[in-house]
Amino acid sequence: MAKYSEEQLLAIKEEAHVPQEEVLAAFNQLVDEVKAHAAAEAEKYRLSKRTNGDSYLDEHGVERSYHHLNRRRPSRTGNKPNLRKKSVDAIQVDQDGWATMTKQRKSFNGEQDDERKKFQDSVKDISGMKMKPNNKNLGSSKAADPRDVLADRHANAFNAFLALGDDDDD
Amino acid sequence: MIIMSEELTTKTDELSLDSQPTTVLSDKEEFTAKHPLNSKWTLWYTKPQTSSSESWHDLLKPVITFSSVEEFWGIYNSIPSANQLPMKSDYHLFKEGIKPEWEDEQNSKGGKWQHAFAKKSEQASQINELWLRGLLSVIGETIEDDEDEVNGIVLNIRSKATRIGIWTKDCNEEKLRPVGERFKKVLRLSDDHKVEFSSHDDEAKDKKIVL
Repeated sequence: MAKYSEEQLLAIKEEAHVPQEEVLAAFNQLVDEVKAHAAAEAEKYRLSKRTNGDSYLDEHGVERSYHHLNRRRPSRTGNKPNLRKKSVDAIQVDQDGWATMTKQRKSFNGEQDDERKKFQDSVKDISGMKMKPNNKNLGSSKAADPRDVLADRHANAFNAFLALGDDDDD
Repeated sequence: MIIMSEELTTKTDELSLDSQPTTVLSDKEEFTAKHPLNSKWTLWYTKPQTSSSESWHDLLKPVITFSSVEEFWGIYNSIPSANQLPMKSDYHLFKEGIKPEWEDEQNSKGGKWQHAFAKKSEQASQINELWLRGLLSVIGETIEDDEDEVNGIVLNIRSKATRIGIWTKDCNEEKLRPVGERFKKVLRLSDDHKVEFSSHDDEAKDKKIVL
């Protein structure tokens, strides 16, 4: 059997002869098509990623997005900002010119307290009327009044004192 | 005179156009084949899947068959080099008539010596040269003595590593060891880098040789 060493084979390299050029041309075209398809898929994948378009080149020269470095705004992660209005401090200036910051109480006025009491009593007097609590700011699964929760709870606990006084035990 | 005339007639008959010697004008293919190889070899290509409807059999394609050193160089110079192939591509160079599949009768009882070059390794940058050395050792048949064990050589282009493997006819360790040792030299692997033999047969899968 005739064997060819690497050196012998390399020595004949210059005498290369292409046997079927059209076959090899078709093969090269196939590989080019595959490469084009792979490049298109890579681009599609790149575009499908949620980024703001900002990117940088890493140490290998590969384009990367800042996506992994970006923090989401706090309201998306549960720490929502408190939008309730804070009470405004009032500034009182005394006779000597000293300014003092005082918090305004919502109801300090005696007249307002009386009005509130009157309203509450009038509500109690109405019998047979169902009152619908204003629970628009409460969660739907929460009872409007926490006392209702206690009242509704079914008690299965055994009461030993009641049992002692029971006459039906004979 | 009669005898001479008969001889002349015979000789004239022999000088028919059919018996003319082969020249570059009559048969270019033969004329250029100055260095015939011991075996005919077929180059196969596994195309990466570009559609879910394509099966393995659709992806594996024979490209060209050759039988001389000159043809080998002509083909080698005309096709993409190892590092130009798209991801998930394979080159297979097998003896003519052997399909680069485990199921082929010539492969079913054999296995492969293989080494994976990690993408970040130093040798990965020399993959073109190492693949060429592998091809030359196979077509020149210096990868083995007279064992006639080698069926072909395979190149797998993958994202994490590039693998080169020598496919053998059977799993006879005595015959395989010299092939594995030569394969290691062809790939210029140091003692730290191993080549591993694994059988195609599922039952013998656990039996592995590492050099």
